[in-house]
Amino acid sequence: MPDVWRSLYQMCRTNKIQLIATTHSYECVSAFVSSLKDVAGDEFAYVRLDKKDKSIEAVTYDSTSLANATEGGWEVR
Amino acid sequence: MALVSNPVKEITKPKVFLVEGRDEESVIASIASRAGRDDIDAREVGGKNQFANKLGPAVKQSSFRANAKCLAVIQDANGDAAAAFQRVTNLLKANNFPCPTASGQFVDSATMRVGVLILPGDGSNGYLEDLFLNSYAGTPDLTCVDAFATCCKPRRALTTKERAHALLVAIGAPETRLGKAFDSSQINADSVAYDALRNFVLAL
Repeated sequence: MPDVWRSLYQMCRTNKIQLIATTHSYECVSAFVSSLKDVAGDEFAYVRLDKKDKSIEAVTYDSTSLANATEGGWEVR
Repeated sequence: MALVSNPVKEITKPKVFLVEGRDEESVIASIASRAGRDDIDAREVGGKNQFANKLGPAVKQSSFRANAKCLAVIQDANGDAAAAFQRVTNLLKANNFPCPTASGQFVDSATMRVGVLILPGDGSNGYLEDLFLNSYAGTPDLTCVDAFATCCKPRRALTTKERAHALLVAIGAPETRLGKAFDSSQINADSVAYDALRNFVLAL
């Protein structure tokens, strides 16, 4: 999966594309951050949408906090 | 890459303790269990230097946001209790939490009760292991460990954690890590030496 993310990143860079991906997979998020944090750490953010009461709240992680979360085994979904 | 089949540290209880390591996690779980409390989650951050990295992700979890009503941080003082308290409160402020004015105290906001305890407590420098050593004050076992430490001193001064390991061996504990041994019959978990920690945990 890290290879997939690196390939997608290179494709986006080459073609000047902004990528928005959605997933419920912790493995997918872990692979995403571990493979890209060093090469593209300032180019991505992870956003979780939380349901709170009757509204939706966006909880945003930058690359560092997402890496800290997944490296520590904290839930991010 | 290893698959993460059960990623993990979700918060399921309303009272959340973030602590340095597995020993603190086990000791707090044991204190809660002995008191018949099932509303306490203790989660280790992976070492004293990891609070800055892990507190933010911990409280961003949807499970924390949904379930937690109280948050406490427990950290060893090491060589400077005041500095440790300042580091923790700075971190809490950076994550938009209210801060108590002193170690061992709590502060309440509309949504969250927050506490900080710097071990061994009372503004002293030291570690969780000091409580364990204090719980054996005046006993032949600790006298023996102190004699061993004195014997070692010309070559190397034993650390508090090493003295605790030696004491665990001396009393025949089944494990040489305090957290793992804490539930064993050799440990006097009801000792007054743990009062500050016990009272803090149960008061959150």
